Amino acid sequence: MPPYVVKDKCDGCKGKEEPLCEQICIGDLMTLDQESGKAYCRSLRDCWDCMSCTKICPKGAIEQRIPYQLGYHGAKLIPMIGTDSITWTCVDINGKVERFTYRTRNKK
Amino acid sequence: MPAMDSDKKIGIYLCTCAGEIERTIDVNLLAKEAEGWRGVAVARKDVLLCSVEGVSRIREDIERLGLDRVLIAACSPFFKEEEFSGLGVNNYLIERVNLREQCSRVHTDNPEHAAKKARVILGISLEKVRCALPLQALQVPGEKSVLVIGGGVAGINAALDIAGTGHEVFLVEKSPFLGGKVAELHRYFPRMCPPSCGLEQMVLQLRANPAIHILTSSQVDAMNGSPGNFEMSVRTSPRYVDAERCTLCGKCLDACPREAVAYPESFSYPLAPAIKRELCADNCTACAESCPADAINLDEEEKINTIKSGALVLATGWEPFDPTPLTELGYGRLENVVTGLEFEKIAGKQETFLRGLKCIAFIQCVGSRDERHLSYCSDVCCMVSLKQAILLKEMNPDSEVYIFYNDIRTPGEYEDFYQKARQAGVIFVKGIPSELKQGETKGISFSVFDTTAGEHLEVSADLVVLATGMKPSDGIEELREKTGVVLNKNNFVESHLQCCPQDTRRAAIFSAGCCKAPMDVSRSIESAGAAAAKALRSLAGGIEVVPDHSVVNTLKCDVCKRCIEECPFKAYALDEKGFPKADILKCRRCGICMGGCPLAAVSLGELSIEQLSEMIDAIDRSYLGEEEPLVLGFMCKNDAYRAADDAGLRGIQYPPNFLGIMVPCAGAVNGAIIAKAISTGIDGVFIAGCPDSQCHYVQGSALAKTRLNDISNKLREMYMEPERVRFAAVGRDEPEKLAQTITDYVRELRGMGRNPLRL
Repeated sequence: MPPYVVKDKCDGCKGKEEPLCEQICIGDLMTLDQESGKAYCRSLRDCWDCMSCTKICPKGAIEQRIPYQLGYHGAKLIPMIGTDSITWTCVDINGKVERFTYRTRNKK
Repeated sequence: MPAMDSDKKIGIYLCTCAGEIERTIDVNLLAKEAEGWRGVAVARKDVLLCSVEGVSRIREDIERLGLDRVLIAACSPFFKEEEFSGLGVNNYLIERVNLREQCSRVHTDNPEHAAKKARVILGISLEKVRCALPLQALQVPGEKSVLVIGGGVAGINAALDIAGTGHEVFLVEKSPFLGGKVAELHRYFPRMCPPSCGLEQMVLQLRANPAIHILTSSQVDAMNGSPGNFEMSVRTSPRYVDAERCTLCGKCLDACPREAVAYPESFSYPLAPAIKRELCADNCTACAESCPADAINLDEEEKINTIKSGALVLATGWEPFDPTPLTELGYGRLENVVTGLEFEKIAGKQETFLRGLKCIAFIQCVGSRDERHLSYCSDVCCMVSLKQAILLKEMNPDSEVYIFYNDIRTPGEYEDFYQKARQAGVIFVKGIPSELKQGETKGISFSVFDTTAGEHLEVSADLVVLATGMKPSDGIEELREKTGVVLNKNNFVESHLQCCPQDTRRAAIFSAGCCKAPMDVSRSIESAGAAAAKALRSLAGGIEVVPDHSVVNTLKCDVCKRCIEECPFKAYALDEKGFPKADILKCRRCGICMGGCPLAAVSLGELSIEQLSEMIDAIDRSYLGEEEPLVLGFMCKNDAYRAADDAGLRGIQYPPNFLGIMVPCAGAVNGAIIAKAISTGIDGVFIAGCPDSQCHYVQGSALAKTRLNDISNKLREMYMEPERVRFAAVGRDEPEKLAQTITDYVRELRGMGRNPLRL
């Protein structure tokens, strides 16, 4: 299931050209709506759910809807990126919350 | 760099501050413990580190043990900077630990916890100094000349002051003559002397100084380069008259069929006419033919010069507010309704007309203090109308002169001038006329409600003078685009009004005169002197660049350009490889770019994101036990950190659960740092910055709030308490507020329970 951009949070990366989600998307699916200045996914059915855009968004404006094979409505997967860590919050369909923190190699 | 850690020789020096710190913290024990830490070559205590003996012992150690980094745990880094610099290692490799103001003195009620906190903050600073980079100040050669834009009274005085010290000055004026609005005035207040006299003196001095280059009919086309090395492209329109050949015979003026010759006054500069070609008839060469000195060349072309200068002074002046939109006042509709500036011309040229007038009305605050037009007070209009009223009374004591006003503003000794007008018999009426009409027989009639007397007054005036407000000159917008200076909501040049009124928000660009606020001649001249002094200071001794400017790691950068957008000083531009790069001369080291970078790719010389990350790693999460919450506080260098120091000096207590880290600005804290802190078990992150309108870097606090808000939202999504991050506005003088906020926050976090991500 494709990413969903929360319009109130997205600031189009202020650069007016290529927002980070557009740069990071391996399928070149994310782009900026020139009129509203907000990002959107231009081809929902082509998204592979890699969540790169969700992770890189500095405003936390992109939510990932979990594919139904993994979890029905209510399930969530939320990343929080630190300088050298990533913390995943997994919420299953019953509302059970689990969190994992990993070290990444982003630092240097 | 961790691979090299074993090689690093760090010296840790702990001060007892003549027993002061020792009263709360066992410094001996701390020194002993620190000796065993990784990379530490020596850790010792001294009774008073800042004493001559204390400092020389550090120097000896550096030499004897070959220390390459030094940690000084003593008072706040804002004290004793002199003593602890130049110790024999690079100054950027000397780190101060604020053991006194932010530990021992604020936790006197709990020595046990104070000692534990001392150990943690020493550990944090050890990581900071371990990751620190040695930096060298850079010397950048700079131009020694100054470009002044605007040849009015402010610009002329700035040019004179600068050239008086031997620096070259380029004075660029848009119109064909110097003098600006002052050249149009009839009399100065309060001494009632003719401005031409003062202006003439100034022009004589200008001409006598070979260091001043005057470019009239000229405008700045483009600005390139950076502070210290500006390259200005200046376009000079043709004058069509060779000022050196012109003998001021006046024949061209007589020959011109269309008033296209702008003829100089006796005090003008240059002392030669200018031909306004836009008014000429096609193929008319009457003036050139009439000129006996052969000084007129109608084929002259415009020139573009490139001028190099080290600093810029903006003195673009003002325009009168156009009262036409205020239709009730009848300007342009009724005869004999004039503006204050028009009155000056009449006073100079039509004295007999003025002597014959029986009733004259001045209407104050035309456009000014009006939400629909100019929301500010134009400063000079009261004095101008008083001046003109006194002048009329002197010409004809029997005339009736009314001033209709909201408030008469004559600050300081100008009050005498107001009293003089009262004594001369000027009638003051508090109330503004509603609608001006053509009188039945003659003159202009109107009714006004006198709010003091509480009655309506019917007036029939021969002449109505509208005291129109001052607004910034029209060219200011264009100049904003070219130079990047910031304008305030009224289009005046923005500055830090109390502390640096002459500065603009761009390095080495200063402002003088009415382009920064409405002001009278004497204050314009004052501000010109101040701007000149500032400009000279920016040129002095080449340009030494403090090396802690921002640096973009191009390996990480994705060119999202957020840094370019968020930099309050517009220091960023794309370099030749297409990556954002801050001009080190424009960068003011606020670190807002570092705070905003989504990829954490920007760092300041003296503080990097990696460094902050290592510092957070160094914190023992349970130094006060498993149940006590841990608060990491980022405090801005200018206000909150100083307020925390004051709390220490005054001994205001707060819980030792709070660990303070100094950052240049609240806006310098990157979201990834906060995320890291939270996800590695810190219970609460707190950014203390200036109250909104007081941020030294304009928008640091506002940006910090937005970023914290984003993280707060994310925490909510993660089913965690959004209050684990918080912004606190703390002014420089609010140590009590800071201590109270910390105390409350710790209590709140205690109620919230442990951070679920704390291991």
